[in-house]
Amino acid sequence: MFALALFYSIAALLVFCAVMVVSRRNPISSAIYLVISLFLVACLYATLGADFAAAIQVLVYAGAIMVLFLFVIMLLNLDPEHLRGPEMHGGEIVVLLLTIGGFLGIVIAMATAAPTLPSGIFTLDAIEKVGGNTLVVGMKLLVNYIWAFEMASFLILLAIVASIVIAKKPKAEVPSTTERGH
Amino acid sequence: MMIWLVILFPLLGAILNGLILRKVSPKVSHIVGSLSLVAAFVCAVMEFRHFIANGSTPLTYLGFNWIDAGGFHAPFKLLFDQLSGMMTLIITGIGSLIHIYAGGYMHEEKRTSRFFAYLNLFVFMMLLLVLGENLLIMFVGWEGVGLCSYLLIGYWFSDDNNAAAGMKAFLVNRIGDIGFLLGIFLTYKFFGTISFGELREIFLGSGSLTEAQMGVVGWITLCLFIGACGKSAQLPLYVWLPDAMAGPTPVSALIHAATMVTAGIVMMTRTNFMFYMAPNTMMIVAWVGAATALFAATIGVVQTDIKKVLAYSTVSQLGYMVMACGVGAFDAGMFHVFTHACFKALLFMGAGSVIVAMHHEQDMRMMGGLKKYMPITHAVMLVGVLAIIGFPGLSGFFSKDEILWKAFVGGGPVLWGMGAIAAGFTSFYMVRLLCLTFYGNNRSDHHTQEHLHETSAVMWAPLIVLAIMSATVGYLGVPAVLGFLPNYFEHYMAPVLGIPAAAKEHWAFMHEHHSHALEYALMGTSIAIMFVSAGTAFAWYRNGIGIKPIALGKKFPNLYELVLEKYRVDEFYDAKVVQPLRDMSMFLYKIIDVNVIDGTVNAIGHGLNLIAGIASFKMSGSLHRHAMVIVLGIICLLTVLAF
Amino acid sequence: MAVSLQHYMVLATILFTCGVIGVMFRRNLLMVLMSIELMLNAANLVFIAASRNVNGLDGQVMVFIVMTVAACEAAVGLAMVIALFRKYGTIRTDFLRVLRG
Repeated sequence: MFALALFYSIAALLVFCAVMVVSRRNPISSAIYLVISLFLVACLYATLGADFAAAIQVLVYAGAIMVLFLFVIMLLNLDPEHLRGPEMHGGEIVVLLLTIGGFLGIVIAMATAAPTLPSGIFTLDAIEKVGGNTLVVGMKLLVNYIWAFEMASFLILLAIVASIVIAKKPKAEVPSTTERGH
Repeated sequence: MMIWLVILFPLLGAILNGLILRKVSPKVSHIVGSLSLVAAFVCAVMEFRHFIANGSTPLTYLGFNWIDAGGFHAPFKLLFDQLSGMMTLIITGIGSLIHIYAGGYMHEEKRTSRFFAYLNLFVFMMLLLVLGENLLIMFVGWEGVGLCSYLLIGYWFSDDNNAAAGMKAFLVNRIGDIGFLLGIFLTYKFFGTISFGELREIFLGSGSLTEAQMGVVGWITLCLFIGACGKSAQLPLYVWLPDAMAGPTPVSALIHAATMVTAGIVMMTRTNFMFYMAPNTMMIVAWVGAATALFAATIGVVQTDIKKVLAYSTVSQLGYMVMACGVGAFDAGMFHVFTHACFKALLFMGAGSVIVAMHHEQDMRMMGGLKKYMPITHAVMLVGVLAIIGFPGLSGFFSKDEILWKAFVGGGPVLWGMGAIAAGFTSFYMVRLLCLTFYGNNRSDHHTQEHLHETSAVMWAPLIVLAIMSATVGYLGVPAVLGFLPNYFEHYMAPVLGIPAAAKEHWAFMHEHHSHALEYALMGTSIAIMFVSAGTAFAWYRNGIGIKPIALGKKFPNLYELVLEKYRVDEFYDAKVVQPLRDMSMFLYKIIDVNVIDGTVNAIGHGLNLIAGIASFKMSGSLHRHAMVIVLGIICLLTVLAF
Repeated sequence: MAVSLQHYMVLATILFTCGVIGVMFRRNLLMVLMSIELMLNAANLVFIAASRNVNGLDGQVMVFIVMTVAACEAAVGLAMVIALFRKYGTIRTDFLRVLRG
């Protein structure tokens, strides 16, 4: 009972924040609302027993990515033209209705379907016994999914290099010291 | 086994000279080229001895199974019998002499590797032609020699005329080749095989031919004869041979005197049993041969270029050989091939020596009196001329007379008459050539006169060998009527020929006993004609172009001009064949190619451009539009997947 | 009634829809990027919920990887925003027509 009430309250807040994210004019407001949504998602993770995921969510998403977003928003110093909120031109309302309708359809389909999936061994109690969620996830990550782990770290390296190169200020035309033929 | 070496040595020489030793000195390429030929000759002699020792039964050698498709078999097989053996010896033997000579002739060139490579390649192809066991191998060799002829005629291709002459040779040959190919196709269609051995079995064996087969033999032989006309320069298709003199003289000696041009006659002799079955075709063959002999001889009378005289002489002599085939005397024709190879190669090479000594001057009116400067060349040329005019005792006399006799017996007095008159003209222009070149006073300018001297040993030594051969090989084929020696050659070639049963009675006259008196009479007549015309020529030309011939020319100016212009045959071909072809090509190009084909392709391009222009209006390119489309796509995808 | 997988999936769908609407109707490039983050989170939610449902751990591992990728993508995307703003002076998606064909 408590779980259900907890879920519904978090869910309601989450939906509200999500709608706010999409509808605010000011990007800073949207960013703040997004931070709150991410935090709420982390709470949901925690209720599901995924402690590690919740912690990572707060640390990485809310803590790093959103900060980055805020930096960029403030760096760009946008003029009012950019602060306009959602715009819908003529035919796009059709697309909107299609989207909502489509996803509603999926929701209904899912609500009525009851997937029966085989049960694994990692029940909450079992995880407790072994040493906690973090330990188990860590072991799984570094034993079974070591390849993906390494690839992910390589991807981060790539992203670092890429973002530095892309965002670098273009060099002004400086006369090269080797131009006069030495 | 030896036989593979025979064809392999020239091929090796060609590859060495053509691909590997491209930049060596002329001497090295000369040695490589000549050595490969001499080696081939030695192997040919060994193979020949093996053949004789084996009782003169035809030997076949299978190389590999080249084509084996359905019912069509064309294995790479070589056949060594009397005919191919003799031809192989001629090709490699006289070929070696010409290669040795060519080293001297081409000594002014900087690089001769290409030349000797082509020559060796030619020998290889010619050997394939004569040794092939089936029509397809022979055709490969046929085409190959045509190619090499083109390459060699146009050897000095920087001069457009030479290149054009090469092309002319190749194209005219091609027309004949159509006939040859049709013959091959018809043969396969109606007889199921193209192997000479199997065809021989069909024709001469115990079985009989069907109605259809007997009916088609006439067409097959006609088609094959058209091929022979192209290669052996018979009447409508001879026009390439005089122009082919643009090539170096050794080429003329080897290809256009001794070997390639005899390919047609060799081919007809190979398929003699088919020709025996087609008396109508044989009649056409005989008359075409006689006409060619006479026609070309008349042109040779007025030519002033020494090589052109010899070219027309070759056409005329080929006419003799073809005429012999037409009256069923294939062995006489082949004997003339043999003797002609000897003395014609000799004459050409001698002419080449003269040309080299005269610094590449070929007009006889500029020569004269060379006897005292070039005694050896004069001596061998004298032997050659005596041989070709049929001076009694030399080889030409025996072979030509045999042909004339067989023509009389098989084709009647008119045929003999044409041959005899042609022989008269031959004596005339050959003696004229000899006189204008060697006798009288020298008519060249002072500078050339100073440099006149005998050619080097590498050039006159092969000529001496050929002179000896021209004088002596005649004794291999003494006509039976003269009786002092058996006709070795006729006995030798007899197994190759065969008259099918169904045609035996038509050709029975060949084995009948004929009047000796008649034969002596004809022989005497032709000797008389020879002496008369030779004497006349000697009298008229011994001191340069005498008064008599000039006066004669003035008396009949139109006739003289007509003959001088080679009866305007080339001009006729140009107007009636070449120009219409050109016009049609121009039409096809301007109207159809440019307008229709290019127009269509361009129109498609323009149309696509238009469509693209219309479609590109839709693309605004904004990021937002892209995002929308992506999302829409995802929605569609999910919808499809969900349901 | 306990909180079942369906609850989470419906919630995730709503979040995803919000994200999609944000991508479609916001003209500011930064807003588009934030909406993409929202979508990614919706997906992560489904992973965790499903992983709990089957008593497995693969979903949580997946979330870890997805988060890494999202971080990288956000970094590179923001770098591009900066570069675009520097070059064209605008980050409105309907004014950026460089890809016009």
